[in-house]
Amino acid sequence: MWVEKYRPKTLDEVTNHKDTIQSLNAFLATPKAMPHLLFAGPAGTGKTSVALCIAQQLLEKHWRDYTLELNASDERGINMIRERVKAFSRHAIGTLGNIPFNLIILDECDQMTADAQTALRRIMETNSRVSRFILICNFSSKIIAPIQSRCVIFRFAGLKKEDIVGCLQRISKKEALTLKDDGASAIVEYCGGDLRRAINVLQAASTLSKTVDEKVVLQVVGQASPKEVGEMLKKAFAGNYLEARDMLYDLMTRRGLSATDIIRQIHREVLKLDFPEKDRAELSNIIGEYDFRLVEGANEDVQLSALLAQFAKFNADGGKKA
Amino acid sequence: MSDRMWTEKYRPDTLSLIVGNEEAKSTFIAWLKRWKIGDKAALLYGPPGTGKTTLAQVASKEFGYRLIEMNASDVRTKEAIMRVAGPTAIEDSLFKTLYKGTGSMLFIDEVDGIFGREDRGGVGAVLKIIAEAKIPIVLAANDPWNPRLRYLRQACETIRFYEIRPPMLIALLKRICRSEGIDADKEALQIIVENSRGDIRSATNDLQSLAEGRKTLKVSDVERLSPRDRQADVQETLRKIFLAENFKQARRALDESDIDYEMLLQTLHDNLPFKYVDPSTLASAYNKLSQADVFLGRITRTQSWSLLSYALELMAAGIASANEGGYRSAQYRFPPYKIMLLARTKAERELKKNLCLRVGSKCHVSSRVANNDFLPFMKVIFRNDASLASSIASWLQLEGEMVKYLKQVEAS
Repeated sequence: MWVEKYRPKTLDEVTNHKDTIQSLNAFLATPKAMPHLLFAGPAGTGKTSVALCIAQQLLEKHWRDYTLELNASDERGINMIRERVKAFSRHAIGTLGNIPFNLIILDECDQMTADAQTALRRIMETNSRVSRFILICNFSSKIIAPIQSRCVIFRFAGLKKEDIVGCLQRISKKEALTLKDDGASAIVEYCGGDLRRAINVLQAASTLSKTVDEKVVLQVVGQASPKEVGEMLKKAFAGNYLEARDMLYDLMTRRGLSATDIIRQIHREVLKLDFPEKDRAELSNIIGEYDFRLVEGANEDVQLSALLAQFAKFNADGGKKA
Repeated sequence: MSDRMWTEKYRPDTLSLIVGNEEAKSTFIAWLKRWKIGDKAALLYGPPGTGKTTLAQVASKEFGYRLIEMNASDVRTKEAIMRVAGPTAIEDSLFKTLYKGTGSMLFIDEVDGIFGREDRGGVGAVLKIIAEAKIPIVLAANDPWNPRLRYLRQACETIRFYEIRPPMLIALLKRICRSEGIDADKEALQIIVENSRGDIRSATNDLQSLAEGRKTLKVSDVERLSPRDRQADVQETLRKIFLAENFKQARRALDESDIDYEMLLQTLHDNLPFKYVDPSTLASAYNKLSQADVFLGRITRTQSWSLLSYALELMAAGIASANEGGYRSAQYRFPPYKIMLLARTKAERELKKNLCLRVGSKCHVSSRVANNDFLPFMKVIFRNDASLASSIASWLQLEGEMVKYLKQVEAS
């Protein structure tokens, strides 16, 4: 996958986040003094890439042996911290070579439970002689304060359009593709500031045509974006409740989407639908309420199904008024 | 395989291994510890399979009593009871000297069954034994409120046993499966537990009959279990709940239902749209169920079981929120469709999960991101460019099934 092929290997290859890179380079000069790091920012802005660069530059050819990379969203419980992180962070680093410390990269930290974070805090403290942590998250507010205070925090802003286009053009050149301006714009339009997504779209587009213009991009987006959520909403708003709910079940089971992902997509799709201003506010209120209940409640099926029922009612009421 | 019933094989042999009914357990032990001649007997009562006999057996062992058991198969005429129990219970026991001074303990199971014609005088005999006993006497009954047991109740300290809660039963079955080397689906165990109504014995028996000698246990294997009377019960319960015309009736129907309340919520929600066709009514009914679920969430998080009645009231209100007339289906959906769907799609979900983990570890993302940000584009690639597809497949070391999954065109 191009995402891996064109991932930067050193900090100097990273084209954005100038200030951050500068500070990090300073840490690399005196590795022993490097603090724990916390990277926060939206998806696809280079947090993991920068962390991997640091690992490779600091630990050089041994980097794979002395780096533990974990994704908290896949192993979010306290056991992950107790078993894997704790054991690894205590590894002796040996005197051979110039390995300054073990490096532990914990991705999607904001998915960790509070218990796990508390356990982590302790380990960061006791093993800082031989281990450093790079914690990565979308929202630093979801990281408990004691951990934040033990880290230097770097914020990664969403990438600007010209940065993404520049990167896509560089890749296109190497892959002998022609990326038209309208194609590049369409990719950015679809991906926002998420470079990872943008590169994936570009690679998928390259399998359709060696000249990537808006039409090709839209074709990829059309094939790749799940239409189910939109169709489910259409059915719900049309009062076709049972079919809508069956689609919901399908999304949750066969497609394996989490309830949080589904409600986020519902939110996005509802905004796209053509409703009068005052209805939009009401719909936001409804979705927000059920998003909240999803967090508070026990059964995701019930909450999402109940939300669809509100949509079905919403349209029926609107119909009466009109 | 084995020549032992699993109910015997896995019967706990120490007090700490007994599942559930903590309060009953400690009350009983306290009673036994302070028991002296002239004290009341203990009457353990509660539904079958909740551990009454086991508790009596294990406690007698731990406290060094010789247990004299009488159960349903014994004849319970006055004469029979006096013959078996009388000498040990009333005359000072010979065993007292043999058994480190603690002596014997008499256990009479199913005392609520003593009043049949053949057992004439049986209750009187038991009362007489209790009154004159020099050893502790333990009685067990399912239904202690039988009028003929009134005097027995007065002569006993009553200790109530409850149905075992589903999570504890599931944990127990999992333990059995582990030691029998069976890989059991959680959904399958859930169905067994749901069927057992909190009865350890029947759950264990069902598990043995379905799984003994097998390596795996899937939902399709337990489907045949759903005993017809259980189905009929559930259908009857659901009928009562859904036909309730007002809040009070609905609340009572919920109280009387013996479906575990999490399953109950799932089942009500599953059947709800069939009852309320009008969108407004459905929305308001669903709103109540959703609020009920919020309470269930709080209960789970804080273990504040006192909140349960609010959840049940909201469920009741949800069902009786409109007098649209009852939904008179011949058949309610049970178990809920979602649970069946989860079971049916299990293989596909496993495949996808492994695929996502594989992509995630190579591309440094979580399986969630792999599912959302990689799979859709990989599908485009796999459908359109065979050579790139095969090089990606070998880079990720994908299995044939995974490649097939990525190549398939989704029906929509």
